[in-house]
Order: sequence, then C-alpha cells, then structure tokens
Amino acid sequence: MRIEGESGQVVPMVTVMSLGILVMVGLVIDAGVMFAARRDLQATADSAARAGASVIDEDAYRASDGQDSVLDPTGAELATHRRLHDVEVVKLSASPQAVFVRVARPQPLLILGFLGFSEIRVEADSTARPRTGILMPGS
Amino acid sequence: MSERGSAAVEALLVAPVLLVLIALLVGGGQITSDQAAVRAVARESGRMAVTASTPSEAVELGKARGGEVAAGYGLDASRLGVSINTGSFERGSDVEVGVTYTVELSSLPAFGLLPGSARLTATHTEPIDRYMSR
Repeated sequence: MRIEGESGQVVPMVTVMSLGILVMVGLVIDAGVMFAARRDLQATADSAARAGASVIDEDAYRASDGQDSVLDPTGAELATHRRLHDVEVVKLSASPQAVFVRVARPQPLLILGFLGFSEIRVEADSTARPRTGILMPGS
Repeated sequence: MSERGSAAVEALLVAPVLLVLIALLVGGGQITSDQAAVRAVARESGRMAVTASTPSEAVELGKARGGEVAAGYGLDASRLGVSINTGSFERGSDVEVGVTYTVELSSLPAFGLLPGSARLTATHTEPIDRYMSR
C-alpha cells in the first residue's frame, strides 16, 4: 500500500529526535559538571573543616594531662576560614567538640544555558571533630 | 513521481547527524566520569601526602596513592600527571596537589567520531595535622 504525500517524513522526525538528543547531551554534560563541582566543593569543605579540627585547646589538653582534646573554637574557625577561597561561606561555627562548615558556589552550566538554566548553586557541608592519639585505623 | 524509497534515502542522509549527536552523548558521559576520577586522584593523593614525615616522602606517597586511585577508576597512567607542592611542610601548613589528565577523544567509546583531545585538571589542598608525630 502506498500513502500519498509521505515525502519529508523522516526529516521532521529526526529534527525532533535531534532536539531531544541535544537536551540529553546537555543533561549528561551539565549534570556531570554539576556533580564534579559538588565533589570539588565537598573536598574543599572537608579539608578546611579538618584543618579547623586540628586546632585544639592546648591549655585544656595539658591541664587534663592529655585526656581532654577539645577545640579552641576561635582558632578553629580561623584555620577553617583561611582555607576557603573562592567560595561563599554559608555557615561556619566551631564549638569545643566540632567544626561545622557549609559552603556554596555558583556553577555555570555549559549546554543547558541555552534553555535558560545558566548556572546552578552547589552546596556542601562538613563536620570535623578533634581526635588525638590515633594509632590504628578506627581506634 | 514515485516516492518509493524516499524515506530510506532521507534516513541515510540524517543518520550521520544522529550518530554524531549520540557520539557527543557518549563522549560527554566519558569525560564527565574521567573528570570525577581526576578529582578523586587529587584528593586521595593529598590525604596520603600529609601523612608523610618528610617532603620527599610526601611526594612519593602522594604520587603512589594517586596512581592507585587512577588505576581503580580505569585511567591511563601514561596520560596522568600528579604534581605535589609540599610548601614549607610544617605542621599546620598545607600540601597542594595538582592533577592533569589528557583524554584522547578519538579513543572514547564514541565510534571515533570526535576529534582532538581534552585536558582535565583538578587541584586539592590538604592541611598537615598541627600535632602529628614524625
């Protein structure tokens, strides 16, 4: 059976399909960019928090004969903050027990920008606690 | 005029376009995954380096760890570069790690349709413990 007027039936279909695939390419690449940015930010938050959590209160540590490893909150916040470049520090707080930091950064999108999503805000947070005398993993 | 076979001809003409788009999709996915791997290498390398007693040991340990992680992610060691800046290496200072990786786009699982290569980079800064024993 032949249907009249089928000329050009593939081109419109492929045009639609191409647009669909292009959006998928955008999602794959931009989602990848976003996840990569998220990992990067998490690594930054973690190492900054760890730096803060190594600022223990030496007086308290000595006074307790090495039993109390608590943080010097002011020094811990400074040490953490010093390592946070090019990021927005959403929250940074230190107590004698832990340092908490939440950072954010706008991440430009490559492909989805054409669809109006020019950038996305990625966030990461991290908590670090002081430990002393770690001799074995898990101890 | 008969239109018999015209759809097939059209399909033949547009197939390369579709193929290139799908190649982009696959290639984009591969680059994304390699970028994540490069970041993991930088981070792990830094975390290992700060446990060392001396700067030269830090470089050695950091690079070895970077190589292990890269192998785990299936990266090609010959195209991986790990540089470790130990700085003053004093307690409380930072060690900086830079990682570069070259992706040959023609070797991606994208039918060899993408030309050239892409350079992926990542950096990581890791603090040295203020009270670590050496």
